[in-house]
Amino acid sequence: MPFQEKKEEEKSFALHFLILTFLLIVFSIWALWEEIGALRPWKTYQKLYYGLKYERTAQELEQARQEFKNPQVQEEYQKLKSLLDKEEKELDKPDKQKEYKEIEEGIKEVDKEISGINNGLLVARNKLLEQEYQYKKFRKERNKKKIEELTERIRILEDRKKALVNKRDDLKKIFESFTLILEKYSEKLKLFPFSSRIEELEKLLKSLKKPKIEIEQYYIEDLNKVDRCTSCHVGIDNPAQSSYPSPYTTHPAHYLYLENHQSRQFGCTICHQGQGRATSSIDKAHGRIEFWEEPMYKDENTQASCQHCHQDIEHLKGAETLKEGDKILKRSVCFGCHRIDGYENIVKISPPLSRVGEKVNYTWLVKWLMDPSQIMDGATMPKYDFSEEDAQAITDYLYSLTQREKNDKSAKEEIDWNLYDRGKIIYSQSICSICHSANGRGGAYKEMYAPDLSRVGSKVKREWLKKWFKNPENFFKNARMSRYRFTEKEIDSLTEYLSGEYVDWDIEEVKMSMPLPIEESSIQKGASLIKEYGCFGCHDIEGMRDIEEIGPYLKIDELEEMVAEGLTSFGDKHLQDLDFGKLTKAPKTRTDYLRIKLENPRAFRDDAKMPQYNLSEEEINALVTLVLGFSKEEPLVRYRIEKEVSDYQPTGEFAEILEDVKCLSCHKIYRKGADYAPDLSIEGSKVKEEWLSNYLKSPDIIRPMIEQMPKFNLGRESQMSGLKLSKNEMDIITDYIMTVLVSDEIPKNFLKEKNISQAEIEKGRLIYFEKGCQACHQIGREGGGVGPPLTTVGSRLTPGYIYKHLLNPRISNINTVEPNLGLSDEEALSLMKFLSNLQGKKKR
Amino acid sequence: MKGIFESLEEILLSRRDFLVKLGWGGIISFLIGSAIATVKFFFPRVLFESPARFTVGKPEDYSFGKVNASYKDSHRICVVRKEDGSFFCVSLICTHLGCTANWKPSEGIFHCPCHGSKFDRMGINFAGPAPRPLDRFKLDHTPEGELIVDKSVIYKGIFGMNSDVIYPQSLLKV
Amino acid sequence: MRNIFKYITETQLWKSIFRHDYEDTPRNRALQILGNVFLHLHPARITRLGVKLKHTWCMGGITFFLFIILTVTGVLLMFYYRPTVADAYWDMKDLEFTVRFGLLLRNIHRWAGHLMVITIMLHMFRVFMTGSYKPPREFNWVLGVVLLVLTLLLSFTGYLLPWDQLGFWAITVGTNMARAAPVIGHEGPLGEIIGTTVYNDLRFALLGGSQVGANALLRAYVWHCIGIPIIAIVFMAVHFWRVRKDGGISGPL
Repeated sequence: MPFQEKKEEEKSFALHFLILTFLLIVFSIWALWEEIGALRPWKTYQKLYYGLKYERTAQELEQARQEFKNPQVQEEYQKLKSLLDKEEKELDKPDKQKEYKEIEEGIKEVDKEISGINNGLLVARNKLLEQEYQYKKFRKERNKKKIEELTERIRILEDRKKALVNKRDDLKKIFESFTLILEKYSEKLKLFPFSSRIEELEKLLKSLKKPKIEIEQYYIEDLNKVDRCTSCHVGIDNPAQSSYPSPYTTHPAHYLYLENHQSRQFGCTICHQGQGRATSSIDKAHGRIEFWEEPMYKDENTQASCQHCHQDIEHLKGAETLKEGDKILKRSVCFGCHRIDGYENIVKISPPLSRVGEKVNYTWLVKWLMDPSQIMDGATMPKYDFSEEDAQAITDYLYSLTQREKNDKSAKEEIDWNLYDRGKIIYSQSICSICHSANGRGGAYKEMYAPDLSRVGSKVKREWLKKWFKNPENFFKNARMSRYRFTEKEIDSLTEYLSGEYVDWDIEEVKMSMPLPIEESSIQKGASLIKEYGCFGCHDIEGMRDIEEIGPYLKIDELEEMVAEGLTSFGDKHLQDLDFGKLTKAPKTRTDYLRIKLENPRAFRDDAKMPQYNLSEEEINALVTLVLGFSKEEPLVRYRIEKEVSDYQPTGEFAEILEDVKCLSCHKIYRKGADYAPDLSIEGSKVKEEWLSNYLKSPDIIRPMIEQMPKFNLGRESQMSGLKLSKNEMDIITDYIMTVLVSDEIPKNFLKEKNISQAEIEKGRLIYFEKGCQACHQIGREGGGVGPPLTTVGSRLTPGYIYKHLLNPRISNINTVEPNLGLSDEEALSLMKFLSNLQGKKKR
Repeated sequence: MKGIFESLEEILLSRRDFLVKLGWGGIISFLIGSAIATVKFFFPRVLFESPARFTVGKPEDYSFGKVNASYKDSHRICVVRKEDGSFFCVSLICTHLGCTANWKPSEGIFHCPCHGSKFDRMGINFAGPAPRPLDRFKLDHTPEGELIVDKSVIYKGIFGMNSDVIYPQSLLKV
Repeated sequence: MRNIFKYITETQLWKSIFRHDYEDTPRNRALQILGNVFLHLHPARITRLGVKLKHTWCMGGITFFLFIILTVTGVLLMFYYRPTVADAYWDMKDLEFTVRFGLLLRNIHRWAGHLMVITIMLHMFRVFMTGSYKPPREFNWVLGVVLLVLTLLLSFTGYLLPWDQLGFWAITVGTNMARAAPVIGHEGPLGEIIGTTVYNDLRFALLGGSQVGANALLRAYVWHCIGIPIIAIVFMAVHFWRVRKDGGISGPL
């Protein structure tokens, strides 16, 4: 070996030393760079923000200065200033100054004296405290005597002090009189419009020059939340910053969200989710990192959080997406398969199927089961992907509940054109098109979920249709359709019209020409399919009423039950509990899970049972928003706002009619019912009795066609209504409304005088046009079409109601678009008189 | 092989002084840096205390000539409205040894339970061991018209002086 | 001036507080060297192999150095960490988000912890390969094994402190092993006969409960920060002392 190794102690380690030192320095600088810059992005955001604010404030200041320089303003300002200067000079005169100083000295002397007495008082009082304590403990006479002495001394001292204080006050008054005018002027100068603004801006500008760059946070102790979002979103809570760029711009709809939820009380993440504490990167703060289960909600999805506190989302402002989701959930009857607490009392819109064999044609039902939306526009039933064989088996089972054989009734029978024509008239008179759509028209009242009638002739059998018109409740206890009091002839006509007009020729082609027997094996198969897919969840099927929901639970409100059975609401589920199945690469968040599931229920597993609902992207988003909020945010419980439950119960024969005509499908009485038609809670005070009974007989047009009340043929004899009543239906309704549905706030017999003078009417007319009522309302043929026409309003509404309504348009309908004009009592009175006089043509 | 090592060593030796200084300089600057970092470490960036500025309701909530003690537990202050309608915010930290004084509405005094100091409704000490009147905090109103207390601005009570006089800015006229 | 200084430094009070020179005699010089703890730590003589890096890898020294780093960073971390269920996780997060150099400290602590286990393994490997476990050093080998176990326990208890899912389940699994201990574990042999249950076995004592909860967190904290380090320091002292007593670093005897 030519290379001789050196002895250990003779070796040089200089190179090692140097390299290691170099590494140490490199790593130190790296650590420093991370600490100061890379881990603290909020520093950059705040610097940019304050720079921007400085710039804008400087601009504002420049503008204010310009305005201040305006010669007119300057003139006034100088005038005031010269007055002040004059007064100041006055005070600076030697003799005045001498007087001024003298009094000042006097006050100081008195103050000194008072201070001395105060000192003495303090000592005396402390001695008194000591003596009192001693006396309490030992009860010695010596102490008692001392107490008396001290009390006396304190009294004397206090008297002296009082005198001195009075003297001081007098001096002070004289002293102040010197500077009184001076102060008045300087006060005025301070309040001078632009100078104070300039001063304010200058102060702000100065503070912005060296802003404090620091982490800002909301610490909400009782919710155990720390939100540092405002470290980057500086001033997001400031409504004046709407013109700033993101991330500094004002919170959207600030007046609605932040004004009602003070950020220092609730923070940010309680609604938005995300990692409120994170400050080291945007992704971390927004929670878009692995293992953070609550990434920030996107856009409208944030409304999901409203449900933590607000139980009544139907009337919640700013939760529009949530409301939409609620509607879709009710329409899709999700609670048929999934347990969703809070929805258990909602009436399922799905029809009962126990007697469906009597109702629909066999072939139609098979086609329907295979793909409902193919044969009915806007079908609410989802698609289950049944094969034809499966669909037949299910149909066989349902048919077997009422009959031995399967059959079709052709719509191609001879049509009685006489009846057909009459039926057409009845169809339009009864305004069926408010709820039902047909061939793309009608169906304005969507929440009624009335089926589309475009091809109803091929769907249902004529005999069933007749029975249905006679009394819908015979088939469907929860039917929302009213019972029109039709005569037999009317029913025949309507049936003839519907089954003659609305025919699906494709189905007619393939209908069975003669009945066939039902096979037993097919029935068995159908029964097991129904059980597997849980049809009974939504539909009432004989013999399957007590089987539990087949879907996973989505919302559980009972805490004890949750703990005992280990149940969770969807919003509380951990990500590991969500089975993404085949989609191993899908983004793993709750939102994505729901979205994928609703887009394609079989996306995760091929054997999933949930059907395809054909929802649009917006609808899916709305439903996702709703379901995401199904969770139990414990600390928020004390902020909960419960749903108001109406305890209104109609009574007597009116209740029977109400049930029968299903008034509450459209109207609302004392918070019970629907919002489609006017609220009737104070109808008795609102309208005149005469008008009401006329209206019930033949409803006039108050609003446009789609909002008009149908003619229910009220008052026909009992065999048509099926109710045994003591007197005429209309009288019962009128009596009830006039006696029960009244408000104390609206005066009865408000307008006593019979004849209103022409002058007063003219005065009212002037106000009517002055306030621009004609923009929305019509009188005769003039005016806008937003509000109801007022041509005959005088015969419809009571003067008392008109008067109160003018003062507060929300008195009967809180969602009205009519603005509150802020009329004075007098104006309202005149306007009321004008409107009351609009009687239209009197019916003789 | 040997040649490389030797030449490397030569370079090191020739610049030994400089490199040694560089090396030690690096280590020393690292140590100084670490010391500064450690000191910095002890100054937290965020606090979980109740904030120095907080709102205390609207002026309408207070009646004339009354002392409002509802913020005693949360913030150790009282908001006083004088007969003439002006406000001030008095600290309840006793100037003796820092206990929290109580407001006794029946006697109209602030009374410290620890050593029995007594202060009148203006916060001036008149009995007990307290050496000076109670301090005051700045009171202001927000643009929304709410009263806001700023505890970072303290008007220290001085013995024998009325804080009304020496700190006219502690009074808020609405 | 000098007199005054001299007077002050020679008072009893000054001498009893501050270090002072002794009279410059050969005896005092010798005593000074013998009495100096830092000089005393160094061996009086050392074999050539002992200083050779290739031979020892300095692994034991590096391990001790890591222990010191862990102690320093650990103490600093304790200033911002509260071992309670409500706060622990958030304090750990805030170390990254708000505390100056917090993330650096936490990462140093964590990596040094991992590294220490590795260096101990390498140290044992070296000791084994150089045959340094042979008599008379066999007792020091045993001490070393004890120190290894203590280091592993330090790692283990430190694992729970972030109070995240990883730590929580690691401790759940880890302490479940104690269930199966004979006699003192309720699932171990003889355990049932003696009457050991979930509420009185070894696991219960370790966790301060039947499941990982607030008590377990506090226990892990105290063991990690105070209990095990003190025990380890005692063993380390003996370990180092034995190295000297057994004939210096790993040279042939």
